[in-house]
Amino acid sequence: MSTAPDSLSAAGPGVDDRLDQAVIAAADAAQESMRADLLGLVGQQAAVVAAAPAGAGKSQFVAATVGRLMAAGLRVALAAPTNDQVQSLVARVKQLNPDVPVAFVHGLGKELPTAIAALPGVTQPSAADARRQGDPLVIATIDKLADAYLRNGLGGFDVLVIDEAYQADAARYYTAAAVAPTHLLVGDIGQLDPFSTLDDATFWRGGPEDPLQTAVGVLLRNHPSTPVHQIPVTWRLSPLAVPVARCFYPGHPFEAAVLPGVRSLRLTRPGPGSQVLAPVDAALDEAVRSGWAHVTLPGAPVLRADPATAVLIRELVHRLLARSAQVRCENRPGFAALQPSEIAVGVSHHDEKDLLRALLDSYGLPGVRVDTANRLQGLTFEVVVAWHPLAGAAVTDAFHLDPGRLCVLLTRHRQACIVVGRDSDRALLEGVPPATPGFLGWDPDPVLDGWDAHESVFRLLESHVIAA
Amino acid sequence: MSTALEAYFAARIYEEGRALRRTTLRHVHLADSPLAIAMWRLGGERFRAAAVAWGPPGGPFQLAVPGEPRNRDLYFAALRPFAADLCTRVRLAAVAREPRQRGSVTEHIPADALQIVVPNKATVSALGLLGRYLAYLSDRGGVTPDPALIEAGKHLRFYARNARVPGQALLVPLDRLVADHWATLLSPFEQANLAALDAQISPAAGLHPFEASSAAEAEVVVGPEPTEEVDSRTEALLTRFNAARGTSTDPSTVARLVEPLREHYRSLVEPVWSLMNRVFERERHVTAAPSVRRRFESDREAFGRHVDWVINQGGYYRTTDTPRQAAIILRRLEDTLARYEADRAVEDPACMIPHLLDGDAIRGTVASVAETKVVVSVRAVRRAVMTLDSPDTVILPEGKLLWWTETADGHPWKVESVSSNGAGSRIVLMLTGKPAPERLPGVGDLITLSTLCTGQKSFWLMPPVDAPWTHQPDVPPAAPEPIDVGDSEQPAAAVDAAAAADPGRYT
Repeated sequence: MSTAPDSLSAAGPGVDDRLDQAVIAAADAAQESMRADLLGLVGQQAAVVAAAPAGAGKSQFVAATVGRLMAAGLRVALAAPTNDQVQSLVARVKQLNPDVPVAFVHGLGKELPTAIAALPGVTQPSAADARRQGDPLVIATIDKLADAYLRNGLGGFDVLVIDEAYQADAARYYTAAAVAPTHLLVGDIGQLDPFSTLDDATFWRGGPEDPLQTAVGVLLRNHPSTPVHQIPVTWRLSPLAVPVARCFYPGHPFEAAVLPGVRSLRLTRPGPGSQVLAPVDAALDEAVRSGWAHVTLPGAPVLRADPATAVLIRELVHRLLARSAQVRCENRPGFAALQPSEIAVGVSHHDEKDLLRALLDSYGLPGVRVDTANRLQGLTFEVVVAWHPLAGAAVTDAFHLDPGRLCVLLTRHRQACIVVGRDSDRALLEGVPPATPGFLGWDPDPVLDGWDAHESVFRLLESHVIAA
Repeated sequence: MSTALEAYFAARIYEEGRALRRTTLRHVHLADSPLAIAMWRLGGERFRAAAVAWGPPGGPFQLAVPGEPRNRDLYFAALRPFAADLCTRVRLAAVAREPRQRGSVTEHIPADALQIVVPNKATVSALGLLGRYLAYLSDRGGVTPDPALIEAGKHLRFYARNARVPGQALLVPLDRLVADHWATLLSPFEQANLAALDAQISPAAGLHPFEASSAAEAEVVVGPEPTEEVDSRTEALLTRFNAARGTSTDPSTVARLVEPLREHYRSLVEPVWSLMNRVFERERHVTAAPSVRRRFESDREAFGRHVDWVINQGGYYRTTDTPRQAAIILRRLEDTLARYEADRAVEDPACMIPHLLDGDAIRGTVASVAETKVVVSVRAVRRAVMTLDSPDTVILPEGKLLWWTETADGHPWKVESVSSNGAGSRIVLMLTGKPAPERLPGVGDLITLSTLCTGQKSFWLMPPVDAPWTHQPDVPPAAPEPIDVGDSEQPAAAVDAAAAADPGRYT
C-alpha cells in the first residue's frame, strides 16, 4: 500500500516533466492560503475547512501543516476516525518532519505497527502520561482523543487537526472539539457519510443537534463564515481516472497532478492454453490499456455474497499477478513488479469480504487487501478490483445507491480499476428515481445523488465493458 | 436480514398459503392488562386527533370525538376524559416500587409500568405529535388549559420517544410486533397495515394470502390516516355538525349534534379493536424469551424516571434535543439495538438462522477441546483450543472473533484455521480468556458460535455538559413562539374595511 503523494510532494517537487506544473501550482497556492488562514486564527475559537477530492494528498498537507504549526511553537492534536488512518498519519508526519516528536495515544490492542513504532521520536504513551508530559504533538483516533480528554484530561492544545473530517460524525466531534480552540478540518467530500445501524437514523436530520451530520457539517451550520478551501488536485488518480471521479464532486474542479502516460501497468501476454481465461485476460488488458474495465457476468438476481462474482474477482486478482504485472509511475521510473499488497478488492458487505478473503487465501494471496468501502477510505493501491454495489441486485436501495460508497470503490487506485458486476445492473436505474423523504434544513439527498452518480459512472464505463 | 432466508420464506408461504413464524419465542414483553389506543386524524390536520378510542384490548372502549377538532374548546373538552384516564393509569402503575441493586446503589423502580398497545407505527407518531401539542399548551387568552391535558401530553411524548428503543415494550405498535415475529408475503410498505398482516397469518378458507390481505385492507380501515372514502364521509358529517352548531361550544348542544360523528368513528373503531385484540392475544400466548424480562426492567426504569420527572418534579422535556443529548441517545440506541439483535439470535434458534446463512455464525460438533499456553504481551497464559466439525462449508477468515451462544456475554473465540473436512469444514478456535470450565463446551456437543455478543463490548463516558463552540451557533436562535399560537378557534377581531388605513388589504 502506498499513500499519495509519495516522494513528489506538493511542497517541493521542483520542475518535473512528469507532473502538471500548473495544476500543482494551483494546489500549492490553495494550501498556502489555508495555512495562512489557520495561523491567523490561532488562539481564537475558529476553524478552517479543507475540502479535497480523492487522493488530493490530504495526509501530506496535514503532515506538512502540522510541521508548520509545531515550528511556530504550537501544541497540536492530530486525529482521524480510524486506527488505520492515524497509524498512517504517524508515518507521514515523521516522513516530512523527522525531528518532530510524535506521541501516539492508542486504545487497547491498537499499538503502532513495529516499523512505524521504531521510528525515532515516536512514542506510545498512555493518555495520562501524554497529559503529564505535555507532549507537543499527540496523534490519536477521534474516539481515543475524546476518551483521553474525558478520562485523563488530555487537552490544552493550541490546534486540533482532523483528517477525514467528512467521515467523522458530529457526535464524536462534540467531545474531541474541546481539546483545542482552533481547528483545521480536512476531508474528502465524496466519501461515505457517517452512518448508523438504527432504522430511524434520520430522526434528527435537518436539526442543528443531528449527531450524524459530518464534523464539517455541524461546524459550517453553526459558523457559516468559516473559510472553506478546495484543493484542486488529485495526486492519486491518473488523468484516465479523473473523468469518472468527477461524477462524485460536483462543484469541485480538480485535475490530476500526474501527466498522461507517466503511469503504466504492464502484463505479460497470456500463454498458450489460456482460452478458458479469455474474458479475464480481456478485462485485464482493457484495464491496462484504459485504466478501467467493467466486467459483467450475465444478468441475474443473486444472493448478496454471490459465489460466481467472488470467484471471478479471485480469478482477476490471481491472473493479474500470474501475468507478472509490473508498474511504472512518477515515483518508480523503471518497471517494478506489482506486489499483492498493492492490490485491493473493495466490497460493500462483510459477508462478501469474508467470502473473498477465504477464496484469495486459498490461492495463496493473503497479501491482497479485501475490505469494505468504509474501511478503504483514505487508502491507496496500485490496482483495485471493485465489487459493484448494485451487482446482481433485484432492486435499488439507499445503502447500495450511496454515492460515497461507489466513490470510495472507484477512487482508490493509481493505475487501474476493474469493476465487477452483472449486465443487468444498469437496468436498475432505468425509469424514474424513487421518491425520497425531504428534511427541512438538509439539502443533500444520497439516494438521488447516488442515482445520478451511478448512472454517470455506468455511462463512462460503457466503452470498457467486458462480458465474462 | 438474510436474502436467502427471505427467499425461502417467500417460497414456503406461497406454497402453504399462510404466513410463517420467523421466531420460536416472543421477544417483546406483553402485559396482562395493557391500555389499547386507536386514533384517527382528519386528512389535512396532523396535529389534531379527530377521534381517540382507548380501553383494554378485547374490552369495551371509550371514545373521544370533539366534532370539530380544530376548535380549541371542543377539542380540549373531548380529550379531557382520555387525558385524565391516561394520567390516572400512569400514576397508578408507578406507585408500587421495588428495590433494584446495581453495584452499591439501590434504586427503587416501578414494579410495573403501563403498557400501551396501538395498531401501528403511524399511531406511535400520531400520539407523539398529539403529546407534543398538548405538553406545551400555553395560557392562551388567559385561560389555563386543564393540567391533565398537559400531563397527558408529556406522557404521550415520553411514550412516543421511548418507542425508538429497540426491544422496548412500553408502547407496542402491533404491526411491528407481527412483522418482527412473522414472515409474510408483504413488502415493508404493505406491512404497515395491520389488517393485511393479520390476514396473511390466518387467511379465510380458500383465499390466497394476497387475496386475504387485499380483502382485509378493504374491510378494516386502520387509522390514524383516513382513507379518501373515510375522509369524504367525515367531511360531510363535519360540515353538517359545524352548520348545526354555528359557533356554539355548549356541551349539551354539542353532545347532541356530535352523535352522528361519534357513530361514524365507533363503526371505524370496532373492527380495529377486535383486530388488535386478536393480534395481541395470539402473540401473548407465545413463550417469552428470557431476555424479555431484563428489557422490561429497563422499560420500568425509564418509566420510573419519567414519572419522577413529570409528576413528582413537574418537569418538562425539551422540544428538541441538545447536541449532547442527541449524541448520547444515538449511542445508547445503537448499543441497545446490537444487544437486542444478539439476544434474539442467542436465545432463539430460529433467529440464528439468518446469521448462519450469512456467515456470521457457525454450527458444528465439538471434536476436541485442549488446553495450551500462548504468549500474550510478555507472559505465557493458559488458553483453550477447540476443534469444531461443521457439516457446512464454512468461510471465515483467520482472526475472526466468535462468541459461543452459551457464553455470549463473555470472552470470544478466535478463528485459528478453517480447513475442508469431507463435505463440511473443520474449524480450530482459541478462547481469548482463561479456560474456566463454564467457558468450555464438551466434546461431542453440538454448539453454535456467532459474531453476536450480548455483553458490553466497550465502556464510554458521557460527553461534556458544556457544548464546544463548534456545536453552538454564532447567534443564538430566537425564543420559539408558544406551540399553540397558530390555533384558529379564536378568529381575529372583525375589521371595518372602510375605516382601515389600507382598505385594499381587506377587500
